[in-house]
Order: sequence, then C-alpha cells, then structure tokens
Amino acid sequence: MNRRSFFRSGVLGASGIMIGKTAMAAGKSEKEPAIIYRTLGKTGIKLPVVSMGVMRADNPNLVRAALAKGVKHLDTAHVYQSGNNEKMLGDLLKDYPRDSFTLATKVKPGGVNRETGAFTKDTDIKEFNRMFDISMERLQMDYVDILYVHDLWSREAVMYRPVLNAVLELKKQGRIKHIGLSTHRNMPEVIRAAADSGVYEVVLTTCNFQMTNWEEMNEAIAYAAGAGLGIVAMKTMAGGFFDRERQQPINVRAALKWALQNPNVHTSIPGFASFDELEESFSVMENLGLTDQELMDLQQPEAAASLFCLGCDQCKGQCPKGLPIPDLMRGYMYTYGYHAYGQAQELVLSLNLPENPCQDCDTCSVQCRKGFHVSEKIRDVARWQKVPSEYFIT
Amino acid sequence: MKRLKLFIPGLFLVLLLPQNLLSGEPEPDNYFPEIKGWKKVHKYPVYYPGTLWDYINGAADAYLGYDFIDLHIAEYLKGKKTSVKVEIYRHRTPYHAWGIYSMERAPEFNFVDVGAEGYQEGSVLNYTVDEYYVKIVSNQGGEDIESFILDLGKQVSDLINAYPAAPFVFDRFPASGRLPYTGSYTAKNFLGYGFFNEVFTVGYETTEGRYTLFLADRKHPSECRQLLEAYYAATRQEETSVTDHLVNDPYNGLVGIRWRGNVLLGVTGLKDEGAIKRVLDDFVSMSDED
Repeated sequence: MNRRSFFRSGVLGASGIMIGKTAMAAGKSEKEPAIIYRTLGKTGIKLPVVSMGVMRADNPNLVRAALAKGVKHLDTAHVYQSGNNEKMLGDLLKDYPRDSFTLATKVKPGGVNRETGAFTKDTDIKEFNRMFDISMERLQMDYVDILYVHDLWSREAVMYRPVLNAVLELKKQGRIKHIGLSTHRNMPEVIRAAADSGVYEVVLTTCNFQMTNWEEMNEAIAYAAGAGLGIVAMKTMAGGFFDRERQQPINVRAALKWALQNPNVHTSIPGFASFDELEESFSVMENLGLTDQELMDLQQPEAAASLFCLGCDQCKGQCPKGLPIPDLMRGYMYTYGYHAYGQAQELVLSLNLPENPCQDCDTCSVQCRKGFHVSEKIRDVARWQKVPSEYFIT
Repeated sequence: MKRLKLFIPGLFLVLLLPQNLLSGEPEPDNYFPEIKGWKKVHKYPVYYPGTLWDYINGAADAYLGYDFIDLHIAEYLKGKKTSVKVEIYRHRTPYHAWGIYSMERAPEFNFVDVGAEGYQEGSVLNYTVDEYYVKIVSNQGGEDIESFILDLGKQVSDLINAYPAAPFVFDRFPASGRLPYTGSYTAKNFLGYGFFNEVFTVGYETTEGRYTLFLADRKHPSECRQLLEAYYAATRQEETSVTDHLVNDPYNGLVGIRWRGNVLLGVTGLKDEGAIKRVLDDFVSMSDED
C-alpha cells in the first residue's frame, strides 16, 4: 500500500464517507461558513466540529472573534501559560452568558510513574483538588463543562480509584458538568479504558494523519463513542510542520479535515493564534471532503518519513533476540530526525546492547508498520556505544 | 534516498557534534551548581522541539512559538522526601526567552531580585536571564525551602550571567504611568495577525486611561511599510497618512501607529483619538531622544 492509498483507505475506513472531488477554495472565505454540529456523546452537548484550543492565544480579542464566528467550545488547562490562559478566559467570559459557551480545563495529578504511566503513592488527591480550586478561581466560574484528568497514558491510571472518586465528588458538587481525560500516548488503550471505566464521559485525544496506528485508533474511538463517550480531537495539525526545522509546513485545513472525517470525532480543538488561522480552521466546515490535492499534501516528504518513528509499539516483542526495538527506533529518530545526539546516546547506552546486536540473524523478522528496515537502523544507532560520551554529555 | 553514514571516526564525528559545542558555547548543564548537603541528579533527558510535548504536553506549543531550542533539567534531593527541580529552557534569543517568560508572568506576582526579572510564588521560582527561561519548583513548602530555592536560583543566574539585564529596548518606552512588570515581547501574531511579529509592549495607566504601548523595530523602513500595508489590507481600510496612522481594527478597536524610520510606535486600548495622539506624541519624543 503506498502512502496515497494509505490515506484514502484511512479516511474511508474511518468514516465511510466518499472523498470529495470538489476543489476547495483556499484562504479566507467572504461568506460565513455553514457550521457542522455533532453531539458530544451522552453529554448531549451539541458543538461545531471546530472548537478552539486556547493554549497559544494570549489575545482575548482572538477568543472574542472566535465566539462571534460561532465557536462554542473553548479548551484550556491549569498549566497553560502558568495559569494566565485560564485568567484571560475568566476575565473575558464573565461578560458572556454562561450558557453561550462551554469550557473545558485540565488538571494533571502528580506522582505518575514515568516508566509505566501508573499513579503511585506520591499521587496526592488533595493537591489535585487544590489545583482545580485555583483553576476555578482563575476562571471565575461556578462550574466548568468538562474537567479533563490530564495526560493519562495507561489503563491502570485511567482506572485509578482515588482520582475517579475525586472527579466524581467534584461532579456531585456541581463544579464540573462532565468528567473527561486527555491522552497523548498509548491512546487506544487509554480510550478503551475510559469507556470501560463507567466514569469518564469525554476523551480528548491526539488524532492526526501522522498516526500509523489509525486502524487501532479508529476501533478504540468507535468503541468509546459506541459506549456514549464524547470524542474531542487534538494535535490535529501534527505539530504544524513535517520537519523539525519547521521549513515544511503542513496543510492545516487538510490535516483538520482528515481528523474530522471520522464521524465519531465530535469536535476538534485546533490551537489557532491569529484571525487568519481562525478563518482557515473554521472554513473547513464549508466541505469536510478532502480533495485529491489535500490528500497529496498530507503525504509526508519521503526523506522525513524514513526518519520518524511514531511509537505505535507494533514492533514490541517481535525480535527473537529480545532487542527493545521501539527504544532503538526512537534512538534512531533522535539521532537522524531531531539531531538530539546527547539524548540518543543516553537512550542507547541505557539499553545495554551487545556490541553487534543483529550479528546472529541473517534476516530480520521484525515487521514495522512504516516499513522501516529495522536491522539497518539498529546497526546505525547501536554505534553510539562506541562514541566517547564526553563529546555529548556535559 | 542515499542512506546516511554517520559513524565514521575522526572528521565526521566532529561534524556530528552539536553546534553549541563546536562554537565553544557553554551547555546549560554547566549552570547547575553543586550544593553542599544536596544530591544533584540528572534523571530527565534533554528535551528538544520534537519531544517537549512529552514533558509539558499542550503547553509546549507556546514554547515552540518562542523558538525553543532545548530544555535541561536537574533535580536536587535532600533526604527521602525533599526534591527541588531546576528546569532551564533555552530559546533562540534573549528576546524569545523574555517573551515566553512574560507570557506566563502576571503583574500581581511576588517579584524577587533574581535574573533579569523573576518572581517567586511559594515553592515556585521563575525568571529569565539572557536566552534562558529558568523554572525552579519544589515538592515541599515552607520558609526554609523557599529561601533555598531563591538562593539556588541566584546561583544558577550568576552562572549564566552575573550581570543580567532586561532587554534595553524597554528603555525606549516612557517612564510616566508605566505599570510595573508589564514589559513583554510577542514573537508572533501580535494583535492576532500573522504578519505582525516581533513586537515589544508595555502596559500603562495615566489620566488618559489604561492602555498598552508597543514598539516594532525593523531592519529597514521598507519592512515597516509592508507591515502597515498588510495591516490596512487586513482591516480593509484606506491609508490616509504616511507617518501617522489610526486604524479602526474590527477586533482590537482603535490602534494608533507612528512610523519613524525603522520603527513603528503604537498604542492600543484607548478609544479617544485625542488621547491616542497625546500618548503617541509622548512616546515618539521619548523614542526620538534615545
């Protein structure tokens, strides 16, 4: 399957919607676009498919313009701009009728095990509640529509009872209308766990065309949506650029449309920071169909595609010699993709590899979803073991 | 694509070295002092633009907008419970470090004498010095730990630059009516426009009202010209003057701008044309003295 057919089948597989052939008008639209609404699962909240991630905006006039344009849902977090993002929204939104918008914020419980993603004895629910109180004070609101437990990446964390009890208590108090979680890693597992929890009502998940595990993602999203959860897509622009040097920009309209092809994605939160970006994002609702040109635009340049591992973990456990393939591919990406040599060497040295890890195998049986030649990349990256560390670690 | 072959000893190895090592520029890891009675550990990797999301999630977007280069972290441990984490975010220029710092700052914070400017709220100390934005935080509270954090912050700051200063461009703003701790730098999308970049701002409160002055310094007058043309086009207005501009911005209200050579001086937040003229007159005379 080539990249073009990959994108086509990804889109079709997700939605069953035929790809539109109509050329999309680029740039600003003179007329107000039609607004496409979807319902955020059993929360019953009806939202335009384009909402606003406020994280990059520090100009309240941009939020005003978004609301005037038809944006209904705003997304912030306790940590954005060290709280100034919530403060800005609080100062602004006190002048709006409370039922004219919905707002989500996020609070991250501490004490997460960095290896497993599980909460630990250091997870302090009182501190979690204190951070939520601070957020509410900044927002100057009696309630938020959605509180996301921020950045969960293991099933164990999703099911962690003390956190579930804490958010249930906040809901009982009427300070949050709906309970959600956000996830940026290991999303399929987390999304399914959210549905299984019986507590979470909304999932905010990374969802973009760069994901290689889209089948698994679509199945997990369908599973959660089927259970009545609302699904909100974030990071739809996949960083905005194909390359680390930020010289190869991504077609943001195409990227946003790609995420919205999936009817189980109920809304998205592009983080626009200018009026043009607002117009551009909102204009996708004129026609969500991806044109052929837009599909082509979403194909990552060949040179970059061969460098970047997207962490799907499909290769995990495949090596008969037990080599940690996902870590090695990450090391390769750090080296050649990001030129983060110190980080790459640190990672490779921590793996305690044999000098020639692949020498006993004539052929490599590891299958990579992106089609990487895994053994060649291992050979290259394993050489970090011979480079004197003083060159890179100060 | 021809496959890269990097691991050739000798010359190619030198080519692999990070740019800052080749230039002899100090690495941020040298800015973590040894502290008697505390154990310094480096258990976090160095984060880069492609990986900052792994550490601070969605907050990373704002840092990337200020040309973030890398993040170095050290943790100081005492006993089994007390941890103090020092994060040094390196940005492309001191302006960019100031920009992200000022985005996260609020004038009502408790400002302390550390770096070019900084504040301490309990067990959190944030400041900027040169091209670095430094954040220090502890998992413990109390006077002793807060005092330690401030001392540690000063030591880190001294290692970076013993004589830190705010960007000199802020001296070009009038002193009268200036609100403390409001000097900011916006790298991109000033007033919400993609063409309006690299702008310094300061907040004011005078008899004219509460407003913000801004200054955009360019390399050549033609860049000022282009910016003004783009602004008029975006707001769909006709230009009526070459040097004195009053733009009725549908999103940001009246915006007054004076064009002086390579520099645009402006004001937002005032509704009265007379007031806009007066504060810009003061701003221009102040700037011309410079």
